[in-house]
Amino acid sequence: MSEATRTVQRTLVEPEPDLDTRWWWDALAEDRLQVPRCRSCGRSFFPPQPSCPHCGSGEWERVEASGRGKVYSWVVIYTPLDPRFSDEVPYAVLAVELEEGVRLFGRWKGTLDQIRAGADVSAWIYRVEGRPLLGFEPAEVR
Amino acid sequence: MSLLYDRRPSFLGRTAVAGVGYTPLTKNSGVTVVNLATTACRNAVLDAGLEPSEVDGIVTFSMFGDSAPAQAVAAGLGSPELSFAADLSFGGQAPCYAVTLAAMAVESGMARNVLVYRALNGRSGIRIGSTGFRSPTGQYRYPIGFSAYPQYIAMWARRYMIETQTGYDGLGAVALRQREYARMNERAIRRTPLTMQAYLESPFVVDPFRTHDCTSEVDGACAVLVTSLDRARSLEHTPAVIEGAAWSTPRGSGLDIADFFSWEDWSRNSHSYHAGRLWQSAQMEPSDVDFAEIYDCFSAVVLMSMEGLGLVGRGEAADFIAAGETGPQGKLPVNTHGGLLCEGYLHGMNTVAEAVLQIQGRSGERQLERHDRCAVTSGALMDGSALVLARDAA
Repeated sequence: MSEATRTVQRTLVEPEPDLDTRWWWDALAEDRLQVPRCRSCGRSFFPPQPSCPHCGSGEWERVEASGRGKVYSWVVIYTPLDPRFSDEVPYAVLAVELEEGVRLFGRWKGTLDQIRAGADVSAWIYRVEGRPLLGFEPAEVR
Repeated sequence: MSLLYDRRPSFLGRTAVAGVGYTPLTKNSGVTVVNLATTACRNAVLDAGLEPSEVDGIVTFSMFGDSAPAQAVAAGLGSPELSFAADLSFGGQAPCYAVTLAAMAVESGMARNVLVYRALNGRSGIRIGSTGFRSPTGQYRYPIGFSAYPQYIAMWARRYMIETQTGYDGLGAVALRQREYARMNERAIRRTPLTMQAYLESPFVVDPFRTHDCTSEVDGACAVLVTSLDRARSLEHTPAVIEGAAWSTPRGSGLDIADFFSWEDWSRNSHSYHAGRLWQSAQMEPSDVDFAEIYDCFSAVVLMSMEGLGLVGRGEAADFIAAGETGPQGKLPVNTHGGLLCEGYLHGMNTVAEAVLQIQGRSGERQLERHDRCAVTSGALMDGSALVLARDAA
């Protein structure tokens, strides 16, 4: 498969939200990317959890994220350690640092040779069998 | 970036590792994990020159129920009574820390002779290294096919490569050097010679990692016996004195062992944080150790951890290794058993055991000439532990 191959996720592995995180997935289902932001120290954090990992405050709010960020790191998966993804390799998973200061994982919608450290990317919410998932695409697409 | 101790922990310089024990490392042991655990523990006790009935403490660690608990090993050894036991729900960050807990128990008087072991049918049974596991933050990884440890640590490796301008050949240098040691280690699973060309031509598992960058999952067990320095001096081998110890769970360690969203810098692991405490507690500098045994579930971890402990400067580890400085004749031999990459994945318990064997002068063909002091690490990512062991000078 060539480096220019653009992979599309077809396999559904159900996310398993818990009582701390269901709201985040519910927002995603409305095509909204939200992150928790601490009311005490003002920093955003991820994933949703009972208190702020930066300062320990239990007072936080949900805010809309811009969806804009930069590539912090990435991997390209050739051997899918979950065999359900066997017919999708190779595919890239990005770690993106949003403008809000949080890092998130997502599939890459672009080609593998487009991935660069620090490249501008945008959040991209897509669906597999109707389930919303977070991915990223090159910023210039928008 | 490292908190210091208020004073030198009292067990340091007063406790020692006296013996080591293994089972064979295989792809299919054909026996239960409790059998493996008991065998390695019995071997460690006898190796030290003690009787199984003299064991009164056991510390172990496991993940997702893949091992046998301390009480089962006590039963298997016919132990009259344990006065100290701990079953840690930990992975690779545990071995040095488990030895530390054992030493603390000995020094405090809670126990006299404490076994520390790791046992798993990691190849034929539960393959923790290559499968998903229940975790609060799995919901952000598993649905997108970001499924297991090789992929997570590859994500850190990439960031490390970006930050330090290290290339694929830098990872390859780790794999090559350790393979050279493995050729001198009959226990090692991977012993065939490896060239840089063969390394670079081998396919990616998860870019930037190839198979050679990943540990070999095995079935097996490894144990060490910890006791007081005074008692160790009356036993079979030269004591490996516990001179320095550190653990850290820094801010951003996350909700589970694969949650690194909040971790500030994916190119630096826990060893960057507790290095100050480790050297403070050992009353040494990084340049004082003769060799190092560095936890290496994946090649890139060796680079991060060596730099984190200050054994080499930031971004210098790959060149140092490529230049041969971690080889048998180098300035700082590293992973003299071939590491977990080659010997097999006993979750770093065997990393500690190799340090002890070298200190005691029992590493056979691969025995180092200078082997008085050693730094040992456990753990790849957010939390981790480390030890400094030294050959008893008495």
